[in-house]
Amino acid sequence: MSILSILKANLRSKKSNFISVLFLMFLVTLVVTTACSVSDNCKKRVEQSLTESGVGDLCCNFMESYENVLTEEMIGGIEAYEEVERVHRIFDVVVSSKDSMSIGGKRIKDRMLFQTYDKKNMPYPVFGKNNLEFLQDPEPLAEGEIYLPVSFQTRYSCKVGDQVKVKSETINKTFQVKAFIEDVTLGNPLFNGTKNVWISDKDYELLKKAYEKGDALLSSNDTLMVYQKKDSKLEEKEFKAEIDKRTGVISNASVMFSKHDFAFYATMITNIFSAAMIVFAVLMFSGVLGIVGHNITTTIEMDYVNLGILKSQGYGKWELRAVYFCQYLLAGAVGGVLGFLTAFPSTYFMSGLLVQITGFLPEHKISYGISLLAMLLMLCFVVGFAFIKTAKIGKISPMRAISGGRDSIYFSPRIKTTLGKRGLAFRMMLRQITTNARQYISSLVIVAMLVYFIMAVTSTLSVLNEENIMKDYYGVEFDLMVSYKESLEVKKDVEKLIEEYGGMERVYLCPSVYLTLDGDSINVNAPESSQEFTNVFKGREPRYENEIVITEIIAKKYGLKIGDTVSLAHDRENREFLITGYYQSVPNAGKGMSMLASGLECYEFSEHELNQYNYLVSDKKQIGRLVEKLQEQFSNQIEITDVQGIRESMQSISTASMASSLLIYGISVLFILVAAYMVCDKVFLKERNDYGIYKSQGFTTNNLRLQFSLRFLAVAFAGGAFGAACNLLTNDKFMEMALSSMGITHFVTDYGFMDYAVPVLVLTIVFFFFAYVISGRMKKVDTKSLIVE
Amino acid sequence: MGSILLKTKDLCKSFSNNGEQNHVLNQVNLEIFQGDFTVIMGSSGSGKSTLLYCISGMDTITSGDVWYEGRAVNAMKEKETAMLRRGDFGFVFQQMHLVSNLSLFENVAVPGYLNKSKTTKETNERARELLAQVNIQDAMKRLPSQVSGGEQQRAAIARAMINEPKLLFADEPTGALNQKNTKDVMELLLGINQNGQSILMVTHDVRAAIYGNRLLYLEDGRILGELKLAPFNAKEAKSRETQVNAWLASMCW
Repeated sequence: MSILSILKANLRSKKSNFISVLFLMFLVTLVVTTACSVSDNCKKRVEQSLTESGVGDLCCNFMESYENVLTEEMIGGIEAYEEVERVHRIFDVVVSSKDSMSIGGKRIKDRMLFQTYDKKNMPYPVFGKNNLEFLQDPEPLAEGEIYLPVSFQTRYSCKVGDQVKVKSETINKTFQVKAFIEDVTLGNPLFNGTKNVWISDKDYELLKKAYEKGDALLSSNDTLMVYQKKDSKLEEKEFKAEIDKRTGVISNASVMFSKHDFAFYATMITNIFSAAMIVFAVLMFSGVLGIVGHNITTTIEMDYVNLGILKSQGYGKWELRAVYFCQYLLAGAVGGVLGFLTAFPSTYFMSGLLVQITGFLPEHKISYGISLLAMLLMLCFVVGFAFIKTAKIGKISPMRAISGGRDSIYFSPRIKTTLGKRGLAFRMMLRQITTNARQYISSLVIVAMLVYFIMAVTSTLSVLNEENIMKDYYGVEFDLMVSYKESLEVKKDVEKLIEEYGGMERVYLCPSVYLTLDGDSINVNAPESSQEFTNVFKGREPRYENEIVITEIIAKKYGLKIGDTVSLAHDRENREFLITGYYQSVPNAGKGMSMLASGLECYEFSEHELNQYNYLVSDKKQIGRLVEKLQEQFSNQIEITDVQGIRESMQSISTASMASSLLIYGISVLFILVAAYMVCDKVFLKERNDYGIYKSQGFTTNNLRLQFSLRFLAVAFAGGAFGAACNLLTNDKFMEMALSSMGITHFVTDYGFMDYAVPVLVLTIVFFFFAYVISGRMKKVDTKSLIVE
Repeated sequence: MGSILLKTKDLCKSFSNNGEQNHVLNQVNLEIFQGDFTVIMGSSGSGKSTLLYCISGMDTITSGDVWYEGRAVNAMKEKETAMLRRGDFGFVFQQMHLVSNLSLFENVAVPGYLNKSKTTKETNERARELLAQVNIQDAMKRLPSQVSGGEQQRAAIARAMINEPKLLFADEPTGALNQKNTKDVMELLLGINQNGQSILMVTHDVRAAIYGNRLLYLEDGRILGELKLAPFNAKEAKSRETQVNAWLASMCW
């Protein structure tokens, strides 16, 4: 009861303090709960979707254009293996010429795999209205109707009812978009180049017949789904290796993904950004602790006499400390609960938002377990911190406190700043800081952390927008990648066109194939000469046909290092390569290798796979027009990938980065608002008497407001500059840690002046602004408060 | 008698407390003359300090007028009263009220930096002179918490003098001091007054009041009496004290 009375009195007189701590805890809990729940929901949804869609444990693709063939013998061998439950084969008709398809007038840049919607074996979830639900029992597709992956809504700005035009040598068909599909396999926006689409049985037969009759613009793709027995004790790696050993199906496939691979790629972006938000929340929480500590220290100083009086009345130190624990525990608990409850609508909102970025619809449940645990942990920290900070209550001597004999709150500063007429406000501001620097540490640290984080997130945008994206993140440099389907007959004409429209700076052979390493399909780029390796950052580039460079992701996953040899297989042909260096390659989440083109000669690859040339164009602005011209004239004979297309495929990452930056800026401003209020409020109250004295000496309210606000401007600027400096020194390592799952293990921060100036200036100005607003109370500081009657 | 520096007409000040009006000052009519060491005396709670702050512009008045050199102080805006405090008025408080993170020197010099007519060098020189005048030049680099109460009050007096004010207001300047320090501070104020500084002091301490040459008695919010004294002479301190006590007795002190 005794503690309760003091607690109630404190809450009455220090409402703003209570509300501020409550709000900060609300923000932190909201971010943590939303981030954990979204991450959890995404993971669960992807697993569920893969199961609902009937995706196999292994998914092997055989592209006719690459002359990969799935034989009955392979299928039989797999079915005979006792660890396999069943197999399922899907035969797609592929429309690969990118001039052959369009949506609403926009050319489709992806290779489309046309298949029927197999409700029995592969019932992919079909989105209902607004992408917020799935249709329970979708009607069969009628002739002329098509299902598209939901990522097409952003990629091609299309909606239900839009027309998809398909034109080949013998087919000229228009489909109407009936609905969108949740396809967490090839439908992932990160997967560039190949997409599943679904049409009616009748339309499929039409296309298949046209293909069988020899329509040159159509080809085929065989997909084999292999389902492991539920009670099988084999790990995925062993299962894959055994399947390949028995049948060679993986080595012969164009590419192979496991269910685990699909799940990994599908949740990659959400995992990265959830992790980023959680790190941000942890940083904010450390800021909260700093502010709580500052508040407690200042409050004890200001309540020194009252505490002395209470002690003289018989209150012990533990009772007085308990008041503070209860105060902050209550603020933290109420804020935490409110944050937790608000996470329900925010998770719901985020789930809807994520459909376009990820291609799937996560649920909007709250992860109760981890969220409540996080909240409990934070409350323990707050109470623990309050426990440490209130230790000085034990040192208060009642009589000394009552007689006003507390220690001076100012210390003789180590840095002596002189006062003078010129720049008096600035000098006095410096003096205020240097004589009690400790009270500004929490503000400085908070601004430093926020600037660091904003700069880190913003640096991801610079990666995506930079001109050297190919060189730094793809391992080879190109503006156009041209794959000659059958022979090199048209190469001269293609190059003539390139020269005419864009100016051909350079051309080099660079096939991109898949080789098998330990049962996994790994993408391998193979430029014709050593000088084309653009980003080997450790060791050296391959100089001989038996040498290879790998990414650090591969090195880590397979326990390899420079100097080791690695065995790579294709179509039962196995060859050893010496690892000479590490390079960086973002496609396939960093699982890539690179060797000289001569290293592929021992394998049997199709002409199409090997006849791939990279071009660098002098006039980059002409690339779009050049691609159109090439498609017009050579659509049957070549496949083109251009840099712009790759950038567009990274749109989802760019969107997510931009959204995260904005969100973090927004939360930072809110956080600074509360932090500024709490710190400035306490400082103001402590110095109130001084302001009365200054006013009695002739200082005006405006003089004093400026002095007060300048102080926080200086502190915020110093914090911002410190945060920016820390970021400049450590951002590479920090981003490598954060983005390694995307394949970026060698991040080079490339800042312009604005990249660090803007966050520092924005947060400094915000802090200054709020300090100036709070200093408005200066008007009410009366000189008569100095009067003692 | 010198010219009139400050004048009040029918000055009233009331405070409201839970609907009840408390009339602290009731139609006070008062003149302060140039060169005088005027002392306002009265019992505790008589409104002495309130009167001081009302006529100096530090507090608002309920009704009446306060004139300083022909200008209505009560009608001035905040900036104008700040200008008054910068140049024309100086204040010495009972609790000294030195800024705790400035040294004694800085406490004296900072108000001087607000004065546009002097350079920093001139202000600093004046501050040093004043500190020497009040005899604390050796302690000028120390913080207020590092010196005695008497030294603090002397620094406060030096601060009040930095801009050569026309009128120095002192609110119970010896209230927080012991006997020795009280004597030192009063002698200092006397010395300043003898150099031409006009002083208006509020006190309930007779030993401090005897240094003035014009005493006013405040009771129930009104000036009830006035006593004019000869310039102070240390040898006559005892008789002066007797004279003042007798006068106070006649005022029903």
